[in-house]
Amino acid sequence: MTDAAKERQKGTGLGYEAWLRFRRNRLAMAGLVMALSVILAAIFAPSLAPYDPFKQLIWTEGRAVRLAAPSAEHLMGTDLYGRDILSRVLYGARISLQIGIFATLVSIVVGVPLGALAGYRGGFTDDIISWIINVIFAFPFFLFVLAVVAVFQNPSMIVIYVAIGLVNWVSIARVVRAQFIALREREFVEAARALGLPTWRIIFVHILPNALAPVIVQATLGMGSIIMIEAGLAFLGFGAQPPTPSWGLMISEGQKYLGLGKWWWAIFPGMAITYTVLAFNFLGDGLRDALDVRLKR
Amino acid sequence: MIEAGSRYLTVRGLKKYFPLRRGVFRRASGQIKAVDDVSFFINERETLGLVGESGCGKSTTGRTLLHLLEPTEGEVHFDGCDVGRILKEDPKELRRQMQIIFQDPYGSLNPRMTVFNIVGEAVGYHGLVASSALDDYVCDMLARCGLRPEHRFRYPHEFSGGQRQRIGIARALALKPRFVVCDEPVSALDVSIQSQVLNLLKDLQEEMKLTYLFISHDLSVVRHISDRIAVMYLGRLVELAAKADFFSNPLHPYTQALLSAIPLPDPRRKGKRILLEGDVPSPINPPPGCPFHTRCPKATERCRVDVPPLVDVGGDHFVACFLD
Repeated sequence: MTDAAKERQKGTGLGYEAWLRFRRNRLAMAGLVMALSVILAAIFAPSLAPYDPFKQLIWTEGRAVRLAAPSAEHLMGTDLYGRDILSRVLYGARISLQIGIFATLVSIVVGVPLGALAGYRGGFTDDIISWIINVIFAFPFFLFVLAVVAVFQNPSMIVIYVAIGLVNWVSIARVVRAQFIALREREFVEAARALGLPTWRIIFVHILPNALAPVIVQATLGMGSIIMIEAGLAFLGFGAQPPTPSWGLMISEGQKYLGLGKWWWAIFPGMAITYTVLAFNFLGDGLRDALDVRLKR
Repeated sequence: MIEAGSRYLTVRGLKKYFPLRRGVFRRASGQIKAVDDVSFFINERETLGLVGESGCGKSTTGRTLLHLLEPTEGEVHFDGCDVGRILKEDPKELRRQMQIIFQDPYGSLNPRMTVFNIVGEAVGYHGLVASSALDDYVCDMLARCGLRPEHRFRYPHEFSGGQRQRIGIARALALKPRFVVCDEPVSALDVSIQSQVLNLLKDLQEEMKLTYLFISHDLSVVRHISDRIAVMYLGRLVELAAKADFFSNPLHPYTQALLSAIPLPDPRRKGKRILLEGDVPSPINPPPGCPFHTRCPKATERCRVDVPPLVDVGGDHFVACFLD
């Protein structure tokens, strides 16, 4: 048998078809490339960064490197302490992605089981969980996180992940719940019950895999908003603390100098945030279109 | 009328009412009487065809019979066992023995599972064969259902409607059931494919000694496969008889009207068409008395008041009508 025939025999999964649809979508591919570039920047920051992001060059090179404008030497200029902004922006990707990934994991760990429970069980269980979801939705997202973080004197990164995750889970839970409500009525779920399969197996093997596509989309779109939240927290001084190279913190420190013509300290991290958030939004939208199995059964 | 447990499968007084929730507070403001006091029996290795127009409660009867929907009232006895009680105590074995084949070949297969897993999952769970023999077992089952075993690692979306229906049949029959509810298994298929699938079901019934409840709205399909035929109208059985008797001597006015609607293949013979007027009443507010009296050409005063019981008029021919 030829390899091609073997390939046919094995069959093509829905994942492969989704990838074909994704690949045709230019904006989605742009989002993927942009997101990958941020991820690569985060991983290889130590080799990519021309300088140590923490090193205050004014002590070795003098006042010339204090708030130096972008040049061949320092592509994005330097800040008040003579730190290389390009290096700090590259290291900043680590902070943003770390927050984005861990807060999303917290959201998924909390949101998927609660959403699944509400959607599958319905009735009173659903009423209670939906009520909690609606209350959290009604609360200003940012203020809630701010309040949680403010309780701690010296917030560690873990506090920030958990605080963001504890608010962000509601958007995940809501899509999971909607999926479970729709899927539990489907005939293949009824067939699984008729086959005598136990409830846990119906939930995890039959329903959950079919409910994951919107979770992936929601989680990806959520990455963008989490990164914004983190930047906002850092800007207000409740997030990452100096001298961490966090984008929000850099804007916060640099904004005072915007009016003095020293725009590069705040603008470059701002562009990094915009780039990253856009990347995840494009990626999320592309995934939504590509993974929508309802378009084709 | 029919004694519980006296036959291979007995359904007695089966009711399924769905609460109707309206308004902001979703308070129950009424009931949909989808299945209302249905009783019948099926003998071993025979096929009972259940016909009726859409929305008359055929599918709900099939699902409630299997306790996939909790019955509001009534009992189902299968081979001497009370199905409802056993499903509460030890559902596993009974589920294996009573299976269902669905109407929609698109919605009834999990799109994220390969055919092998769809057919083999429950076989493994019920421990019907050793895990080393599972692959051979699934291949054999697929072959018996007219599918190519080498396609077993494909996904449902790679198959046609008829092939998917065969996968659904293989899934149900892989558990070696004794009783199968066939819920309109061919009505979503092309006419050319329908007969293939019907013949497959017939052959497998012979081979595996199966008993079928065959639900359909298509009289010619039911005629092809059934030994006995039951007619349902607005949640109730109106007539039940052996096939020959049913077609030669229909007693209920509704059955007579249904049969008169079958086109005759001979253009010179003109059948006398009984035209029914009006629409099926809503199952939310079913008419009092006989459910059919609003459209029945022969309805009398009594039909508007009393519900006619399903009685045996001789030779296991049951009819629910006051007329003789």
